Amino acid sequence: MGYWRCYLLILAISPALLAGCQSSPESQLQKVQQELASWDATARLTRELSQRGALPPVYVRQVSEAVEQGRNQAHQRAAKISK
Amino acid sequence: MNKLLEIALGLVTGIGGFLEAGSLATSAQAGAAFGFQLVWAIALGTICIAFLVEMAGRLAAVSKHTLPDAMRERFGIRFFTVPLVAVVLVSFLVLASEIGGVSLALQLITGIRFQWWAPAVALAIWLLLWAHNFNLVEKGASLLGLVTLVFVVGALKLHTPLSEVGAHLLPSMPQQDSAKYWFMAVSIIGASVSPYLFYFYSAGAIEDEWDEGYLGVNRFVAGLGMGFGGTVAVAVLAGAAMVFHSRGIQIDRYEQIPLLLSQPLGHWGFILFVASLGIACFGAALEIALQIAYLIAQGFGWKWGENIRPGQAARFSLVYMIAILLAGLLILTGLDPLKLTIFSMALTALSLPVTVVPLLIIMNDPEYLGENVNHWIANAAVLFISVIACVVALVAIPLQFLGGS
Repeated sequence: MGYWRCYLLILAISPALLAGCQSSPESQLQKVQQELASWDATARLTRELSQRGALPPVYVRQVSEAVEQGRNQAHQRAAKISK
Repeated sequence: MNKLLEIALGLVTGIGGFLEAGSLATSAQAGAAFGFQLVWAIALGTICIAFLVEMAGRLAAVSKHTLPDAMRERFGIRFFTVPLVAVVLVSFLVLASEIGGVSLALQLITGIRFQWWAPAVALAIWLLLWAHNFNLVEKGASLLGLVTLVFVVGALKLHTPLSEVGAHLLPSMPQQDSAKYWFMAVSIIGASVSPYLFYFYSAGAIEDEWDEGYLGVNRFVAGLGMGFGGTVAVAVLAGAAMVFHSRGIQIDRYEQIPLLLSQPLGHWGFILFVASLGIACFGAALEIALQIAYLIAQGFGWKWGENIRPGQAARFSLVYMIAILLAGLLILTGLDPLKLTIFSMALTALSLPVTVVPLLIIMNDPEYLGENVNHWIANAAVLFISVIACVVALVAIPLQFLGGS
């Protein structure tokens, strides 16, 4: 079998071989908790910099939206894992 | 004097052209998630790209062949199709990431969603390529790209502990989240060793009519230019480590990254971040669109060149037009630019052996290089980094997706 065929074969089967390596619900929940804490810290830092006048309002609005979306997605994921 | 000017311009190109959507996003994410721990990945990627760029320039100067041209001639059209497809696919995704980066910069200052900017950005890229010559595209973008040096200023103002950064030049094992760590490592290497960089460089050397007298210039530009460029990427990682990692912030959206400069530089930090993102991504998009056209035109033996009128190289011009159009459409769909960028970079690392091994074979062929064939150190370094990056990518990419990130 040629070098290229071997390479393509490894590429094709590696996801299947690794399918058994999915992380446990506990560690997935822990990741979600970290994500939520990260969004809270982002909101805090943005507020702090905004109060110093370092950020334009148009940008602060975008970060606030991103934080809200991020939090919602993390909550949804947490609920899905807990089921 | 002329050579000194070439070296200076080459250094500017190296510094101004190194940072783009890929290196910015991967370095910021890595710094936020793992502190200084992944500095070694930038160092490894920078060493690899410096060797590759030097080889591509040497090949052009000595043999007067561009890379695709030599590959097709040396291996035949059937074999050439494999690296051609790999590089075009990866470059297309990176082009879309860059258009996404420029669009995001515009979103950050206007509040209008990035996807609505994609058509205008694509049109601006196409117009510039259509109406201007190679020197303006390459040197103009790189000169403006010097604004990315602000990341070095930011990292210094944050009092980054340089000894700690230096201590992480050697690889270390992750303390937690191994899958993400290795995925980030290969994404960083992929971002640094983007094939477009050395393919574009080889075409540029031919456009600038380099000969063997340029070998010294080539060595300087490749070594120092890429070295300085890598330093800017390290500064992004260090800044992210200082601002985000210390607060437990992980980067999940592009919108978070400007805080990296706003913290040390205040209002100007935000403005300079947007300028850096927009200019760096715009410059990279110009180069990648051209590189896709160079690759296909040189590979199939069509007339090519950014210094000739588009009508005289119609197929070449058509290729970059289609590439820009399709990449713009991909961003218009609203695909998350950060995820697209990180995925493209990991895919680049995965494809490295396909793009690098044929180059190494040519670089060791005296028929092309005469007495200027590769030294064994260059062969060993590039082969080692490429194969390791590919193997790690092969394991880390599926693990990262199974982990749900």
